[in-house]
Amino acid sequence: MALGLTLLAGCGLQRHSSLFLYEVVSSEALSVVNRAELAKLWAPLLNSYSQIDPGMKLEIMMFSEERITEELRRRQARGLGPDLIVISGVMANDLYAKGLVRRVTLPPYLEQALEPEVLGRVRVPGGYSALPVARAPEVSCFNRARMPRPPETLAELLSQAAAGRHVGLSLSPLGIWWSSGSLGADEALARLLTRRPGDTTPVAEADRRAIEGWLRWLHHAAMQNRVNFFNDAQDVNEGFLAGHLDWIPCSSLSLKRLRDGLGDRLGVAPLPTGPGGPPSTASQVRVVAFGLNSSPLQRRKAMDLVLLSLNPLVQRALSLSDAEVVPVNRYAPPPVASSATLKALVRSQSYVKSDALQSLALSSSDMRRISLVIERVLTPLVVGLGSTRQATEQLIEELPPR
Amino acid sequence: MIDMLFDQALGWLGYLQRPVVLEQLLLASLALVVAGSLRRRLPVPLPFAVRALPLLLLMALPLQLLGRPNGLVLLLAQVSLARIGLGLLERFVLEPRLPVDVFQHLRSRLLRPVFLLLVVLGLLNAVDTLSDLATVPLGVWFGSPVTLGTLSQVVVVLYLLVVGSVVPAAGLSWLSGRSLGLNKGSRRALELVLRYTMVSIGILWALYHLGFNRNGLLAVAGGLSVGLGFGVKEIFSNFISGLWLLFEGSVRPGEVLIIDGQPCEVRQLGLRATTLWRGSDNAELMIPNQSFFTSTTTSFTRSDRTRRCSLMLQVADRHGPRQIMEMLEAVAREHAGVLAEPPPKASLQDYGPGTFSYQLSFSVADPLKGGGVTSALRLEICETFAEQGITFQQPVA
Repeated sequence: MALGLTLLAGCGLQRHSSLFLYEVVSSEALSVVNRAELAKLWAPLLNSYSQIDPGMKLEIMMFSEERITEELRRRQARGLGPDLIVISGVMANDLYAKGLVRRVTLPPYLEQALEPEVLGRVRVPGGYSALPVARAPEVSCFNRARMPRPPETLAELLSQAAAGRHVGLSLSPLGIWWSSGSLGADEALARLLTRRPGDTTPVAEADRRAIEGWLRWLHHAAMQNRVNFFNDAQDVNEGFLAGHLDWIPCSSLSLKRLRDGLGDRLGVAPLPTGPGGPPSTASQVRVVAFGLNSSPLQRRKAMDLVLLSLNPLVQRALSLSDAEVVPVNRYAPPPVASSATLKALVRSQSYVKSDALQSLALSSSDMRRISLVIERVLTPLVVGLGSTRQATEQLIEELPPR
Repeated sequence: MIDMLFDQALGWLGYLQRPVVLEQLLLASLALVVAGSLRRRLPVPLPFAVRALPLLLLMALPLQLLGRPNGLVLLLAQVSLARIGLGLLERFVLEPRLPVDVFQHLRSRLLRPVFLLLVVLGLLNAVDTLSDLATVPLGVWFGSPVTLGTLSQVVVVLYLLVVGSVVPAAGLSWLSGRSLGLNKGSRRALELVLRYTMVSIGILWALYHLGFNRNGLLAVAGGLSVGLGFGVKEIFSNFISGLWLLFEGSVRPGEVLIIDGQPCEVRQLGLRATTLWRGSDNAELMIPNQSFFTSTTTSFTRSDRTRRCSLMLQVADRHGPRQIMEMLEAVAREHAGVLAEPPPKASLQDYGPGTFSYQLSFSVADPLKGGGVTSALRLEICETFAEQGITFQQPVA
């Protein structure tokens, strides 16, 4: 049998090779996106690649972020692991630290062409844990039928709520972090999160005041009848799709699903600015990591495919596809004139600061810890229990240094 | 659809480009071949899984020591281990505790197929992900998109329902029989009705799960009605007849019917045909259910289970008829297989040249034993007549 399989592999399969690609998505996305839809997103890239290697097939499998570590361990122990893993930058670093993906290097011309901030997120000693392929900034989604013009400032957001529009916010770090920028508290929060373990320096009074100001606005917003707080982004998206909410912050990665549900009624705009300046928009970086089980041929083809995806032309094509992402190649300016959504994405991407939550090189376990603290501190605040002062002290106390 | 699944399976062959996969397959194949060849060389015959397990573990060891992936070999070892566990369960837990036919039914219809299914699913999950495969679209059936997952789920659930509903249906009918005082035949009929109900609910669930809308069901019903007019008329007729018989209770398992002059016991009322057992030659008869609607059926168990039997004999006219009739009734009364009520009755049937014809009627409790009791009575009558010097007379043609 093995001899037969070897001959099969040697003769027939050289012409028709396969690459195994794992797409790692949130458990929310896993329940609504299927393999066929993902294959459509990869189709433009594969079409380009087929000109170089016509027989290549891409086998796509989907996993949730919660399961991927365990699955990689199990599958790579059998030699049946992936060649490529599409994942968030934070998780790629985690997987590299656990020895589940291999380090790669980039040709100098490409290193220079990619956004340094994005490359920095996946840099490891001697190379990269993965290669970035797209950015997915956070934006605001609104229902055009209920809200003809999206709010541009936090004040407008609350006045729209007072005028009868339903606003949904989530208490997840990424769902609420953006408002800290609009209220001038993002840098103070970033300093809080990047404290060294054992650092006993007291938090600066200015930082304390900035954080309290941010919490005061959240408390004030929660007192509005039509501003609803949810525990996670999935509930917010569900409420928006069901027509219970008219305005929500959303990741560009969920735009396709929202568009499938709302059609032309879906409007996309940058998140509102505030007295503290632009929002501290989060931007997820989608990266491609490389598995351990690939044959030399598969390794070469996998790298060729990823390098092709970084080509300016392909990057532009990807940003115009259903994927709705922002290119990472600096020489691939997104064609904003052809899409209002893309224009909103690019403008949101410009709000991403170097001290944005996802630029802090936090691990996924750090993010989970932060998420728990934020939920624990903010939940009483938004339901009207406790004061902003207490919440500020609790946040400073509990946000654990890494 | 087939193309898509074939294409999917072809994609998995990409694993064979990997040396780490090929070396595992090579070693696993070697282990399985050696395990096969050991079949007749071992002093004690051992099942294949028992022979394969240590060899597979032995093959996984060098890969482990070299730091190479060996999970595929270990996966096959796990399958062998599970097979050994199943064998032990069958042999030491189920076989001693269950009747032979129930055990064989359970093993061949449920345990082995479920084991095979789990192994196949496990292997599929190793080369792909079941959750992803489940989303492979198979097309739109009656306006509802159907995926590989929903279809597989429906097939498996229906199979398990058809096979696995035997035990719960039997349990429920036993409980009902105890509480309502039903006889054996009624209990078996109730068991069948319960099984059909479970399967019917399962079919409705399956259609709902597949997303069939009302229009789709109407279309199916329309197509089916055309089909009924042509190809499947007989099958459907038998099926409806079977259900009717169950509800009417005219033919139930345990009843005794006369088929071609022979008493037969109803053993099983099936969807298409009824199985009867004929005691005279230990044969099983499969009679299409609709036969009971289109021809007269003689039952000895419709209102009670007694059977009135009779035998004819001719005796020389020199013996007084009253004496003969009393003798015949006395012989019948003394036989243990003859019921006291209604009492045996002898009658003078005819006068012939030199002979009188008599008939002896008597009742037996078990209709299937009528032939045996009749034969025994004939023997005793012969012996009694011989003692009394009474001679039989052949009828004159």
